[in-house]
Amino acid sequence: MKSPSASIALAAHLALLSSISFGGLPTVLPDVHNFVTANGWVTDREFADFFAISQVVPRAQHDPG
Amino acid sequence: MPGPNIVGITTRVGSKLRGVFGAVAAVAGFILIPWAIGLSLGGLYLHFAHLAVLQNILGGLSAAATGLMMATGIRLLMPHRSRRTALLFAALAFTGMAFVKLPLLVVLLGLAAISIAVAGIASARA
Repeated sequence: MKSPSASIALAAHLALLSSISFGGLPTVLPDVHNFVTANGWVTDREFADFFAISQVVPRAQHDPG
Repeated sequence: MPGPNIVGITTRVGSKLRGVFGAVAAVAGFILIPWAIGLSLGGLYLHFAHLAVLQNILGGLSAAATGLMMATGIRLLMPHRSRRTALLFAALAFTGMAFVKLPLLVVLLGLAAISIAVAGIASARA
């Protein structure tokens, strides 16, 4: 996750996902996981940690999940 | 519907009350505090990720949150447990995402098309 093209690729992928977001966060989550781990940006463990943090934080963005 | 719905509703309420500035103010009021808390916690995590205590806390939290999500999935599936085709498509979607690691778009478009076709054939026969 060092080069700017990686940031753009991530943003584009997330934009696509958020515009289909069928089923909300639970459906999108595995795809995001596959995308960022396949690119070697985030390890499995880090992704699980991020997920834990995001679940603890009060949220307004997502309705279910 | 695509997109984050709650933010959409907030935008509409804000713009109805005060136009463009109302919309910006309403959305900012809605998401700024969660963002600030989330970003601060994320920043702290990046600093202290190596601590064993934090690793254990986050490990437990993510396991619990995953359990809740699985429970939601099973609860959604329960009303359809007697329909074999529904279970088959649920299993295909799960396998495609979890094991084959296909992109969501592929799973969604592929299975939606096939399952609608199957349901159409089934209802045409009945």
